[in-house]
Amino acid sequence: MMRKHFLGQACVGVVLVCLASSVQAGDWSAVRIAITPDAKYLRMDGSLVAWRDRSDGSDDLYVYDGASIQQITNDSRDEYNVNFDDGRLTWTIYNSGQVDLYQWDSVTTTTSHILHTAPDGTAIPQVRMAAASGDNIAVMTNPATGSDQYGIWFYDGATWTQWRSTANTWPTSGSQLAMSGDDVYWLEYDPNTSMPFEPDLVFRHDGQTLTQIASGIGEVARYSFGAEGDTVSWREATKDEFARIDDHRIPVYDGTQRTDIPCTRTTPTFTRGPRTE
Amino acid sequence: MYEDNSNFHTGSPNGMSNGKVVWDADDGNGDMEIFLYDGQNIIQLTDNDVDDLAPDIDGNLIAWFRDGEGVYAFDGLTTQLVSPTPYMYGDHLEVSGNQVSWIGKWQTTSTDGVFVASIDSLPPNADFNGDGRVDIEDIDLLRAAAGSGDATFDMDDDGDVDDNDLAILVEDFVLWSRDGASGMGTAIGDFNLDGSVTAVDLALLQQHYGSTGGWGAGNSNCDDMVDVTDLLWLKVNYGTVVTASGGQVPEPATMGLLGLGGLTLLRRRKRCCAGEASR
Repeated sequence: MMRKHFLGQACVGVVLVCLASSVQAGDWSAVRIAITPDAKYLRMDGSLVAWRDRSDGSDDLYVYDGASIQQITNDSRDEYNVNFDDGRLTWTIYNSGQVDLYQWDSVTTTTSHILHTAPDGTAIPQVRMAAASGDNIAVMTNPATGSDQYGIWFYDGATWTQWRSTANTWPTSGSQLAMSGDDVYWLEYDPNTSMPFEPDLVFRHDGQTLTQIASGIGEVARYSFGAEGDTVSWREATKDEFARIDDHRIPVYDGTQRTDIPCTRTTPTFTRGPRTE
Repeated sequence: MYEDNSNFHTGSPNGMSNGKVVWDADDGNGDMEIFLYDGQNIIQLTDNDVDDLAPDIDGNLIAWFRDGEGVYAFDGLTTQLVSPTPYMYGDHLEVSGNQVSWIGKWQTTSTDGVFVASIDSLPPNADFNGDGRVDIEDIDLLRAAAGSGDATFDMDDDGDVDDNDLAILVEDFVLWSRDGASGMGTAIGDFNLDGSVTAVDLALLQQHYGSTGGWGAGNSNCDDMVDVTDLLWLKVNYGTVVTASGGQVPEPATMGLLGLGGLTLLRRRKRCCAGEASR
Protein backbone atom coordinates (compact mmCIF):
# COMPACT_ATOMS: atom_id res chain seq x y z
CA MET A 1 0.00 0.00 0.00
CA MET A 2 1.35 3.34 -0.89
CA ARG A 3 -0.24 6.67 -0.57
CA LYS A 4 1.01 10.15 -1.04
CA HIS A 5 -0.33 13.29 0.40
CA PHE A 6 0.65 16.19 -1.69
CA LEU A 7 -0.74 19.60 -1.39
CA GLY A 8 1.84 21.27 -3.53
CA GLN A 9 1.79 24.98 -3.41
CA ALA A 10 -0.72 26.02 -0.86
CA CYS A 11 -2.16 29.43 -0.29
CA VAL A 12 -0.87 32.08 2.11
CA GLY A 13 2.66 31.12 1.32
CA VAL A 14 2.61 27.85 3.18
CA VAL A 15 3.97 24.77 1.52
CA LEU A 16 2.92 21.52 3.02
CA VAL A 17 5.44 18.78 2.84
CA CYS A 18 4.78 15.70 0.83
CA LEU A 19 3.91 12.87 3.16
CA ALA A 20 4.65 9.45 1.81
CA SER A 21 3.19 6.80 4.01
CA SER A 22 3.55 3.13 3.44
CA VAL A 23 3.33 0.00 5.46
CA GLN A 24 4.02 -3.03 3.36
CA ALA A 25 2.01 -6.13 4.09
CA GLY A 26 4.20 -8.95 5.29
CA ASP A 27 4.74 -12.06 3.22
CA TRP A 28 3.36 -15.33 4.52
CA SER A 29 4.97 -18.67 3.97
CA ALA A 30 3.44 -21.95 5.04
CA VAL A 31 4.67 -25.50 5.19
CA ARG A 32 3.15 -28.84 6.07
CA ILE A 33 5.54 -30.17 8.68
CA ALA A 34 3.83 -33.53 9.16
CA ILE A 35 1.80 -35.52 6.67
CA THR A 36 -0.73 -37.38 8.76
CA PRO A 37 -4.50 -37.83 9.04
CA ASP A 38 -4.36 -38.52 12.77
CA ALA A 39 -2.81 -35.41 14.29
CA LYS A 40 -4.67 -33.84 17.20
CA TYR A 41 -4.24 -31.60 20.25
CA LEU A 42 -1.89 -29.08 18.67
CA ARG A 43 -0.22 -26.66 21.05
CA MET A 44 2.18 -23.77 20.48
CA ASP A 45 4.73 -22.29 22.82
CA GLY A 46 6.73 -19.57 21.18
CA SER A 47 7.87 -21.01 17.88
CA LEU A 48 7.62 -24.59 19.11
CA VAL A 49 4.70 -26.70 17.95
CA ALA A 50 3.54 -29.84 19.73
CA TRP A 51 0.86 -32.31 18.77
CA ARG A 52 -0.31 -35.87 19.31
CA ASP A 53 -0.21 -38.39 16.49
CA ARG A 54 -0.71 -42.09 15.89
CA SER A 55 2.35 -44.29 16.22
CA ASP A 56 2.49 -48.08 16.50
CA GLY A 57 -1.07 -48.50 17.68
CA SER A 58 -1.19 -45.68 20.22
CA ASP A 59 -0.74 -41.95 20.17
CA ASP A 60 2.52 -40.20 21.01
CA LEU A 61 3.64 -36.61 21.33
CA TYR A 62 5.80 -34.75 18.84
CA VAL A 63 7.47 -31.33 18.85
CA TYR A 64 8.58 -29.27 15.86
CA ASP A 65 11.29 -26.70 16.60
CA GLY A 66 11.29 -24.94 13.25
CA ALA A 67 13.78 -27.30 11.69
CA SER A 68 13.02 -30.86 12.73
CA ILE A 69 10.45 -33.02 14.49
CA GLN A 70 11.28 -34.77 17.73
CA GLN A 71 9.21 -37.64 19.08
CA ILE A 72 8.70 -36.92 22.78
CA THR A 73 6.90 -40.06 23.91
CA ASN A 74 7.05 -43.61 22.68
CA ASP A 75 4.76 -45.88 24.64
CA SER A 76 1.63 -47.97 24.28
CA ARG A 77 -0.72 -45.42 25.86
CA ASP A 78 -2.35 -42.22 24.68
CA GLU A 79 -1.37 -38.83 26.08
CA TYR A 80 -4.06 -36.51 27.43
CA ASN A 81 -4.35 -33.01 28.90
CA VAL A 82 -1.60 -31.71 26.67
CA ASN A 83 -0.35 -28.26 27.61
CA PHE A 84 2.66 -26.35 26.36
CA ASP A 85 3.67 -23.21 28.24
CA ASP A 86 6.91 -21.56 29.24
CA GLY A 87 9.00 -24.16 27.49
CA ARG A 88 7.39 -27.10 29.22
CA LEU A 89 5.14 -29.67 27.63
CA THR A 90 2.93 -31.46 30.15
CA TRP A 91 0.56 -34.36 29.69
CA THR A 92 -1.15 -37.16 31.56
CA ILE A 93 -1.41 -40.86 30.88
CA TYR A 94 -4.22 -43.01 32.20
CA ASN A 95 -2.56 -46.10 33.59
CA SER A 96 -4.50 -48.91 35.29
CA GLY A 97 -6.70 -46.70 37.41
CA GLN A 98 -4.00 -44.18 38.09
CA VAL A 99 -3.04 -41.09 36.20
CA ASP A 100 0.58 -40.29 35.61
CA LEU A 101 1.68 -36.73 35.02
CA TYR A 102 4.73 -36.02 32.89
CA GLN A 103 6.59 -33.00 31.62
CA TRP A 104 9.12 -32.41 28.86
CA ASP A 105 11.53 -29.48 29.16
CA SER A 106 12.28 -27.88 25.81
CA VAL A 107 15.56 -26.41 27.07
CA THR A 108 17.06 -29.59 28.45
CA THR A 109 14.97 -31.81 26.12
CA THR A 110 14.41 -34.18 29.03
CA THR A 111 11.22 -35.88 30.18
CA SER A 112 10.30 -36.09 33.86
CA HIS A 113 7.70 -38.16 35.65
CA ILE A 114 5.96 -35.69 37.96
CA LEU A 115 3.16 -37.59 39.63
CA HIS A 116 1.75 -41.09 39.89
CA THR A 117 -0.32 -41.22 43.05
CA ALA A 118 -2.34 -38.30 44.29
CA PRO A 119 -0.38 -35.38 45.71
CA ASP A 120 -1.31 -36.40 49.26
CA GLY A 121 0.10 -39.87 48.69
CA THR A 122 -3.20 -41.68 48.52
CA ALA A 123 -3.46 -44.03 45.66
CA ILE A 124 -7.03 -43.72 44.54
CA PRO A 125 -7.61 -40.04 43.93
CA GLN A 126 -6.95 -39.45 40.34
CA VAL A 127 -5.56 -36.53 38.53
CA ARG A 128 -8.52 -35.46 36.52
CA MET A 129 -6.69 -32.80 34.60
CA ALA A 130 -3.53 -30.77 34.80
CA ALA A 131 -2.22 -27.39 33.74
CA ALA A 132 1.25 -25.88 33.85
CA SER A 133 2.71 -22.41 34.03
CA GLY A 134 6.31 -21.50 34.63
CA ASP A 135 7.69 -23.92 37.19
CA ASN A 136 4.24 -24.57 38.57
CA ILE A 137 1.71 -27.27 37.92
CA ALA A 138 -1.90 -27.46 39.07
CA VAL A 139 -4.01 -30.56 39.07
CA MET A 140 -7.67 -31.21 39.62
CA THR A 141 -8.31 -34.47 41.49
CA ASN A 142 -11.30 -36.75 41.90
CA PRO A 143 -12.36 -37.88 45.39
CA ALA A 144 -10.59 -40.65 47.19
CA THR A 145 -12.50 -43.78 48.05
CA GLY A 146 -14.78 -43.04 50.97
CA SER A 147 -14.42 -39.35 50.39
CA ASP A 148 -16.44 -36.88 48.44
CA GLN A 149 -13.78 -34.22 48.39
CA TYR A 150 -12.68 -32.98 45.04
CA GLY A 151 -9.50 -30.98 45.04
CA ILE A 152 -7.16 -28.52 43.43
CA TRP A 153 -3.46 -29.09 44.08
CA PHE A 154 -0.59 -26.79 43.33
CA TYR A 155 2.97 -27.91 42.69
CA ASP A 156 5.73 -25.28 42.84
CA GLY A 157 8.40 -27.57 41.52
CA ALA A 158 9.19 -29.03 44.93
CA THR A 159 6.10 -29.52 47.05
CA TRP A 160 2.39 -30.02 46.58
CA THR A 161 -0.17 -27.88 48.37
CA GLN A 162 -3.91 -28.41 48.37
CA TRP A 163 -5.73 -25.21 47.48
CA ARG A 164 -9.27 -26.52 47.26
CA SER A 165 -11.20 -29.34 48.82
CA THR A 166 -14.91 -29.42 48.29
CA ALA A 167 -17.83 -31.76 48.16
CA ASN A 168 -19.38 -29.74 45.40
CA THR A 169 -20.11 -31.99 42.53
CA TRP A 170 -17.64 -31.11 39.91
CA PRO A 171 -18.44 -31.28 36.28
CA THR A 172 -18.09 -34.76 34.94
CA SER A 173 -17.87 -33.58 31.41
CA GLY A 174 -17.22 -29.91 31.72
CA SER A 175 -14.15 -29.50 33.86
CA GLN A 176 -11.70 -26.83 33.01
CA LEU A 177 -8.47 -25.84 34.64
CA ALA A 178 -6.25 -22.99 33.56
CA MET A 179 -3.11 -21.38 34.91
CA SER A 180 -1.51 -18.02 34.45
CA GLY A 181 1.59 -17.30 36.48
CA ASP A 182 0.82 -18.44 40.01
CA ASP A 183 -2.91 -18.11 39.53
CA VAL A 184 -5.08 -21.16 39.05
CA TYR A 185 -8.59 -20.93 37.62
CA TRP A 186 -11.20 -23.67 37.42
CA LEU A 187 -14.90 -24.36 37.06
CA GLU A 188 -17.33 -26.06 39.41
CA TYR A 189 -21.00 -26.87 39.42
CA ASP A 190 -23.18 -24.71 41.59
CA PRO A 191 -24.61 -27.13 44.19
CA ASN A 192 -27.71 -24.98 44.37
CA THR A 193 -28.42 -25.39 40.70
CA SER A 194 -30.27 -28.48 39.63
CA MET A 195 -28.58 -30.40 36.92
CA PRO A 196 -26.91 -27.75 34.89
CA PHE A 197 -25.39 -29.17 31.79
CA GLU A 198 -22.39 -26.91 32.05
CA PRO A 199 -20.49 -25.69 35.10
CA ASP A 200 -21.46 -22.26 36.33
CA LEU A 201 -19.02 -21.30 39.06
CA VAL A 202 -15.62 -19.79 38.33
CA PHE A 203 -12.89 -19.89 40.97
CA ARG A 204 -9.41 -18.48 41.27
CA HIS A 205 -6.63 -19.18 43.73
CA ASP A 206 -3.65 -16.84 43.62
CA GLY A 207 -1.55 -18.71 46.12
CA GLN A 208 -2.94 -16.77 49.02
CA THR A 209 -6.65 -16.40 48.55
CA LEU A 210 -9.47 -18.46 47.12
CA THR A 211 -11.90 -16.27 45.23
CA GLN A 212 -15.16 -17.16 43.63
CA ILE A 213 -15.11 -14.96 40.57
CA ALA A 214 -18.52 -15.74 39.19
CA SER A 215 -21.59 -17.49 40.49
CA GLY A 216 -25.16 -17.97 39.48
CA ILE A 217 -24.27 -17.18 35.94
CA GLY A 218 -26.26 -19.96 34.41
CA GLU A 219 -23.90 -21.91 32.28
CA VAL A 220 -20.27 -21.57 31.43
CA ALA A 221 -19.20 -22.87 28.11
CA ARG A 222 -16.18 -24.87 29.08
CA TYR A 223 -14.61 -24.75 25.66
CA SER A 224 -14.16 -21.03 26.00
CA PHE A 225 -12.34 -20.87 29.29
CA GLY A 226 -8.86 -19.42 29.40
CA ALA A 227 -6.46 -17.27 31.38
CA GLU A 228 -3.63 -14.93 30.52
CA GLY A 229 -1.76 -12.50 32.70
CA ASP A 230 -4.13 -11.45 35.45
CA THR A 231 -7.12 -11.98 33.23
CA VAL A 232 -9.53 -14.86 32.85
CA SER A 233 -12.33 -15.07 30.35
CA TRP A 234 -15.07 -17.50 29.55
CA ARG A 235 -18.28 -17.72 27.61
CA GLU A 236 -21.55 -17.83 29.48
CA ALA A 237 -25.29 -17.83 29.04
CA THR A 238 -28.31 -18.77 31.06
CA LYS A 239 -29.81 -22.14 30.37
CA ASP A 240 -32.53 -20.55 28.27
CA GLU A 241 -30.04 -18.46 26.41
CA PHE A 242 -27.60 -21.21 25.80
CA ALA A 243 -29.13 -22.45 22.57
CA ARG A 244 -29.13 -18.95 21.21
CA ILE A 245 -25.56 -18.14 20.53
CA ASP A 246 -26.41 -14.50 19.97
CA ASP A 247 -27.32 -14.18 23.64
CA HIS A 248 -24.00 -15.38 24.91
CA ARG A 249 -21.60 -13.15 26.78
CA ILE A 250 -17.83 -13.26 27.16
CA PRO A 251 -16.93 -11.92 30.60
CA VAL A 252 -13.36 -10.71 30.92
CA TYR A 253 -12.24 -10.46 34.55
CA ASP A 254 -8.92 -8.70 35.16
CA GLY A 255 -8.72 -9.40 38.87
CA THR A 256 -10.71 -6.38 39.93
CA GLN A 257 -13.19 -5.58 37.21
CA ARG A 258 -15.47 -7.68 35.09
CA THR A 259 -16.36 -6.58 31.57
CA ASP A 260 -19.04 -8.46 29.66
CA ILE A 261 -18.62 -8.60 25.91
CA PRO A 262 -21.91 -9.35 24.20
CA CYS A 263 -22.03 -11.91 21.43
CA THR A 264 -25.01 -10.40 19.73
CA ARG A 265 -25.99 -10.24 16.13
CA THR A 266 -26.48 -6.54 16.59
CA THR A 267 -22.82 -6.15 17.20
CA PRO A 268 -21.68 -3.03 15.39
CA THR A 269 -19.52 -3.80 12.50
CA PHE A 270 -16.50 -2.54 10.75
CA THR A 271 -13.93 -2.85 9.09
CA ARG A 272 -11.51 -1.75 6.51
CA GLY A 273 -8.36 -3.80 6.68
CA PRO A 274 -9.53 -7.29 7.39
CA ARG A 275 -12.90 -7.19 5.72
CA THR A 276 -13.10 -10.16 3.40
CA GLU A 277 -16.32 -10.79 1.60
CA MET B 1 -14.62 -40.33 34.84
CA TYR B 2 -11.26 -39.46 33.37
CA GLU B 3 -11.09 -36.00 31.93
CA ASP B 4 -9.16 -34.79 28.97
CA ASN B 5 -9.04 -31.09 28.29
CA SER B 6 -6.81 -31.43 25.27
CA ASN B 7 -9.62 -30.57 22.93
CA PHE B 8 -9.96 -27.20 24.53
CA HIS B 9 -7.42 -24.50 24.07
CA THR B 10 -5.79 -23.42 27.26
CA GLY B 11 -5.81 -19.99 25.69
CA SER B 12 -9.46 -20.76 24.85
CA PRO B 13 -11.12 -20.59 21.46
CA ASN B 14 -12.16 -17.18 22.63
CA GLY B 15 -8.55 -16.29 22.04
CA MET B 16 -7.18 -13.66 24.41
CA SER B 17 -4.03 -11.53 24.31
CA ASN B 18 -3.18 -8.31 26.09
CA GLY B 19 -6.78 -7.64 26.99
CA LYS B 20 -8.01 -8.30 23.48
CA VAL B 21 -10.48 -11.10 22.89
CA VAL B 22 -11.48 -12.82 19.66
CA TRP B 23 -14.36 -15.21 19.14
CA ASP B 24 -16.72 -16.56 16.54
CA ALA B 25 -20.42 -15.82 16.56
CA ASP B 26 -23.43 -15.94 14.30
CA ASP B 27 -23.72 -12.72 12.34
CA GLY B 28 -27.48 -13.04 12.10
CA ASN B 29 -27.33 -14.36 8.57
CA GLY B 30 -26.88 -17.98 9.49
CA ASP B 31 -23.11 -18.16 9.32
CA MET B 32 -20.32 -17.53 11.78
CA GLU B 33 -18.03 -14.53 11.69
CA ILE B 34 -14.94 -13.48 13.63
CA PHE B 35 -15.19 -10.69 16.20
CA LEU B 36 -12.53 -8.77 18.09
CA TYR B 37 -12.91 -6.89 21.37
CA ASP B 38 -10.00 -4.45 21.59
CA GLY B 39 -10.64 -3.41 25.16
CA GLN B 40 -13.34 -0.94 24.30
CA ASN B 41 -14.93 -1.68 20.95
CA ILE B 42 -16.27 -4.79 19.27
CA ILE B 43 -14.98 -5.12 15.74
CA GLN B 44 -16.31 -7.58 13.21
CA LEU B 45 -13.36 -8.91 11.27
CA THR B 46 -15.15 -10.96 8.64
CA ASP B 47 -18.36 -10.56 6.69
CA ASN B 48 -19.27 -13.30 4.24
CA ASP B 49 -21.63 -16.23 3.78
CA VAL B 50 -19.42 -19.03 5.03
CA ASP B 51 -18.41 -19.98 8.54
CA ASP B 52 -15.34 -18.33 10.03
CA LEU B 53 -14.39 -20.28 13.12
CA ALA B 54 -12.10 -20.89 16.07
CA PRO B 55 -9.95 -17.75 16.09
CA ASP B 56 -6.85 -17.27 18.16
CA ILE B 57 -4.84 -14.13 18.85
CA ASP B 58 -1.35 -13.25 19.99
CA GLY B 59 -0.41 -9.60 20.06
CA ASN B 60 -1.96 -8.08 16.98
CA LEU B 61 -1.94 -11.27 14.94
CA ILE B 62 -5.29 -13.05 14.62
CA ALA B 63 -5.96 -16.23 12.66
CA TRP B 64 -8.99 -18.43 12.09
CA PHE B 65 -10.46 -21.15 9.92
CA ARG B 66 -12.76 -20.39 7.06
CA ASP B 67 -14.87 -23.41 6.38
CA GLY B 68 -13.95 -25.01 3.09
CA GLU B 69 -11.27 -22.50 2.25
CA GLY B 70 -8.42 -22.57 4.72
CA VAL B 71 -6.73 -20.45 7.34
CA TYR B 72 -6.90 -16.67 7.24
CA ALA B 73 -4.77 -14.28 9.26
CA PHE B 74 -5.19 -10.61 10.10
CA ASP B 75 -1.90 -8.97 11.02
CA GLY B 76 -3.44 -5.79 12.37
CA LEU B 77 -3.55 -4.22 8.95
CA THR B 78 -4.48 -6.71 6.26
CA THR B 79 -6.12 -10.09 5.97
CA GLN B 80 -4.54 -12.84 3.94
CA LEU B 81 -5.17 -16.49 3.18
CA VAL B 82 -2.16 -18.22 4.70
CA SER B 83 -2.85 -21.93 4.24
CA PRO B 84 -1.05 -23.48 1.28
CA THR B 85 -3.87 -25.80 0.35
CA PRO B 86 -7.30 -24.41 -0.51
CA TYR B 87 -10.52 -25.98 0.68
CA MET B 88 -8.95 -27.25 3.84
CA TYR B 89 -10.81 -27.88 7.03
CA GLY B 90 -8.88 -27.93 10.25
CA ASP B 91 -8.82 -27.71 13.98
CA HIS B 92 -6.58 -26.78 16.88
CA LEU B 93 -5.39 -23.53 15.40
CA GLU B 94 -3.00 -21.52 17.56
CA VAL B 95 -1.19 -18.21 17.10
CA SER B 96 2.15 -17.38 18.67
CA GLY B 97 4.41 -14.49 17.76
CA ASN B 98 4.54 -14.24 13.97
CA GLN B 99 3.44 -17.83 13.51
CA VAL B 100 0.18 -19.73 13.04
CA SER B 101 -0.07 -23.50 13.41
CA TRP B 102 -3.00 -25.79 12.80
CA ILE B 103 -4.03 -29.30 11.96
CA GLY B 104 -5.46 -29.55 8.48
CA LYS B 105 -7.98 -32.23 7.66
CA TRP B 106 -9.62 -33.00 4.38
CA GLN B 107 -9.59 -36.78 4.58
CA THR B 108 -6.85 -37.09 2.03
CA THR B 109 -3.19 -37.67 2.52
CA SER B 110 -2.49 -34.93 0.04
CA THR B 111 -3.88 -32.31 2.38
CA ASP B 112 -3.97 -33.68 5.93
CA GLY B 113 -1.27 -32.89 8.42
CA VAL B 114 0.29 -30.34 10.73
CA PHE B 115 0.94 -26.92 9.25
CA VAL B 116 3.02 -23.93 10.24
CA ALA B 117 2.66 -20.54 8.56
CA SER B 118 4.78 -17.54 9.42
CA ILE B 119 4.86 -13.94 8.31
CA ASP B 120 8.21 -12.32 7.67
CA SER B 121 7.26 -9.00 9.22
CA LEU B 122 4.35 -7.76 11.23
CA PRO B 123 3.01 -4.23 10.95
CA PRO B 124 4.24 -1.95 13.71
CA ASN B 125 2.40 -1.98 16.98
CA ALA B 126 0.60 1.33 17.10
CA ASP B 127 -0.86 0.89 20.57
CA PHE B 128 2.06 2.72 22.16
CA ASN B 129 0.60 3.04 25.62
CA GLY B 130 -0.68 -0.53 25.65
CA ASP B 131 -4.22 0.31 26.63
CA GLY B 132 -5.69 -1.96 23.99
CA ARG B 133 -6.72 0.73 21.53
CA VAL B 134 -5.04 3.10 19.12
CA ASP B 135 -6.41 6.53 19.83
CA ILE B 136 -5.53 10.17 20.41
CA GLU B 137 -3.19 9.30 23.24
CA ASP B 138 -1.10 7.19 20.89
CA ILE B 139 -1.10 9.92 18.26
CA ASP B 140 0.20 12.44 20.76
CA LEU B 141 2.82 10.00 22.03
CA LEU B 142 4.13 9.73 18.50
CA ARG B 143 4.01 13.48 18.05
CA ALA B 144 6.01 13.90 21.25
CA ALA B 145 8.64 11.53 19.89
CA ALA B 146 8.99 13.42 16.62
CA GLY B 147 12.58 14.19 15.72
CA SER B 148 13.87 11.22 17.60
CA GLY B 149 14.98 7.93 16.23
CA ASP B 150 12.79 5.97 18.63
CA ALA B 151 11.99 2.81 16.73
CA THR B 152 8.78 2.40 18.72
CA PHE B 153 7.21 5.22 16.77
CA ASP B 154 9.05 4.76 13.48
CA MET B 155 6.07 3.38 11.60
CA ASP B 156 7.71 3.44 8.18
CA ASP B 157 10.99 2.10 9.52
CA ASP B 158 13.08 4.83 7.92
CA GLY B 159 15.09 5.66 11.01
CA ASP B 160 13.27 8.73 12.21
CA VAL B 161 9.94 9.82 13.64
CA ASP B 162 8.18 12.45 11.59
CA ASP B 163 4.98 13.42 9.86
CA ASN B 164 5.18 10.37 7.62
CA ASP B 165 4.91 8.13 10.66
CA LEU B 166 2.03 10.21 11.95
CA ALA B 167 0.22 9.78 8.65
CA ILE B 168 0.61 6.02 8.75
CA LEU B 169 -0.60 5.89 12.31
CA VAL B 170 -3.68 7.96 11.59
CA GLU B 171 -4.60 6.51 8.21
CA ASP B 172 -3.95 2.85 8.93
CA PHE B 173 -4.21 2.17 12.63
CA VAL B 174 -6.21 4.72 14.58
CA LEU B 175 -9.61 3.53 15.64
CA TRP B 176 -12.56 5.71 14.75
CA SER B 177 -16.13 5.30 15.89
CA ARG B 178 -19.30 6.96 14.72
CA ASP B 179 -22.93 6.10 15.37
CA GLY B 180 -22.19 2.59 16.56
CA ALA B 181 -19.84 1.78 13.70
CA SER B 182 -16.11 1.74 14.04
CA GLY B 183 -13.04 1.00 12.02
CA MET B 184 -9.34 1.42 11.64
CA GLY B 185 -7.77 4.29 9.80
CA THR B 186 -9.15 7.74 9.25
CA ALA B 187 -8.12 10.95 7.53
CA ILE B 188 -5.69 13.63 8.60
CA GLY B 189 -7.89 16.31 10.09
CA ASP B 190 -10.28 13.95 11.86
CA PHE B 191 -9.43 15.40 15.23
CA ASN B 192 -12.34 13.84 17.12
CA LEU B 193 -11.76 10.43 15.49
CA ASP B 194 -15.31 9.97 14.33
CA GLY B 195 -14.24 8.80 10.90
CA SER B 196 -15.03 12.06 9.16
CA VAL B 197 -13.53 15.47 8.67
CA THR B 198 -16.28 17.95 9.33
CA ALA B 199 -17.14 21.26 10.89
CA VAL B 200 -16.68 19.65 14.27
CA ASP B 201 -13.00 19.17 13.51
CA LEU B 202 -12.77 22.68 12.15
CA ALA B 203 -14.30 23.97 15.36
CA LEU B 204 -11.71 22.13 17.41
CA LEU B 205 -8.97 23.65 15.32
CA GLN B 206 -10.48 27.13 15.52
CA GLN B 207 -10.76 26.88 19.27
CA HIS B 208 -7.05 26.23 19.63
CA TYR B 209 -5.73 28.13 16.63
CA GLY B 210 -2.51 29.92 17.46
CA SER B 211 -1.95 27.86 20.57
CA THR B 212 0.05 24.80 21.35
CA GLY B 213 -1.91 21.61 21.38
CA GLY B 214 -2.16 17.99 20.42
CA TRP B 215 -4.23 16.06 17.93
CA GLY B 216 -7.48 16.62 19.80
CA ALA B 217 -6.83 20.35 19.64
CA GLY B 218 -6.52 20.35 15.88
CA ASN B 219 -2.80 19.77 15.52
CA SER B 220 -2.46 17.51 12.50
CA ASN B 221 1.31 17.26 12.35
CA CYS B 222 4.30 16.86 14.62
CA ASP B 223 4.95 20.49 15.49
CA ASP B 224 3.66 22.13 18.63
CA MET B 225 1.42 24.79 17.19
CA VAL B 226 -2.09 24.63 15.87
CA ASP B 227 -1.57 26.80 12.85
CA VAL B 228 -2.19 27.35 9.20
CA THR B 229 -0.52 24.10 8.23
CA ASP B 230 -3.08 22.19 10.25
CA LEU B 231 -5.87 24.19 8.70
CA LEU B 232 -4.65 23.36 5.25
CA TRP B 233 -4.48 19.66 6.02
CA LEU B 234 -8.00 19.84 7.31
CA LYS B 235 -9.05 21.64 4.16
CA VAL B 236 -7.54 18.96 1.95
CA ASN B 237 -9.51 16.23 3.65
CA TYR B 238 -12.60 18.21 4.57
CA GLY B 239 -15.72 16.25 3.80
CA THR B 240 -14.00 12.89 3.89
CA VAL B 241 -16.15 10.23 5.50
CA VAL B 242 -14.60 6.89 6.27
CA THR B 243 -17.11 4.11 5.85
CA ALA B 244 -17.40 0.84 7.67
CA SER B 245 -16.34 -0.98 4.54
CA GLY B 246 -13.18 1.02 4.45
CA GLY B 247 -13.83 3.52 1.72
CA GLN B 248 -13.27 7.20 2.09
CA VAL B 249 -16.04 9.26 0.63
CA PRO B 250 -15.01 12.83 -0.08
CA GLU B 251 -17.73 15.38 -0.29
CA PRO B 252 -16.22 18.17 -2.37
CA ALA B 253 -19.37 20.25 -2.16
CA THR B 254 -18.55 20.99 1.41
CA MET B 255 -15.12 22.28 0.61
CA GLY B 256 -16.48 25.69 -0.15
CA LEU B 257 -17.85 25.99 3.35
CA LEU B 258 -14.46 25.21 4.77
CA GLY B 259 -12.87 27.67 2.45
CA LEU B 260 -15.05 30.42 3.81
CA GLY B 261 -14.52 29.32 7.40
CA GLY B 262 -10.83 28.89 6.91
CA LEU B 263 -10.36 32.26 5.31
CA THR B 264 -12.26 33.86 8.16
CA LEU B 265 -10.02 32.09 10.58
CA LEU B 266 -6.90 33.17 8.76
CA ARG B 267 -8.04 36.78 8.59
CA ARG B 268 -8.87 36.79 12.27
CA ARG B 269 -5.51 35.33 13.13
CA LYS B 270 -3.73 37.77 10.86
CA ARG B 271 -5.39 40.71 12.55
CA CYS B 272 -4.50 39.27 15.89
CA CYS B 273 -0.87 38.90 14.93
CA ALA B 274 -0.70 42.33 13.40
CA GLY B 275 -2.11 43.78 16.59
CA GLU B 276 0.43 42.00 18.69
CA ALA B 277 3.22 43.19 16.47
CA SER B 278 2.12 46.81 16.81
CA ARG B 279 2.30 46.75 20.53
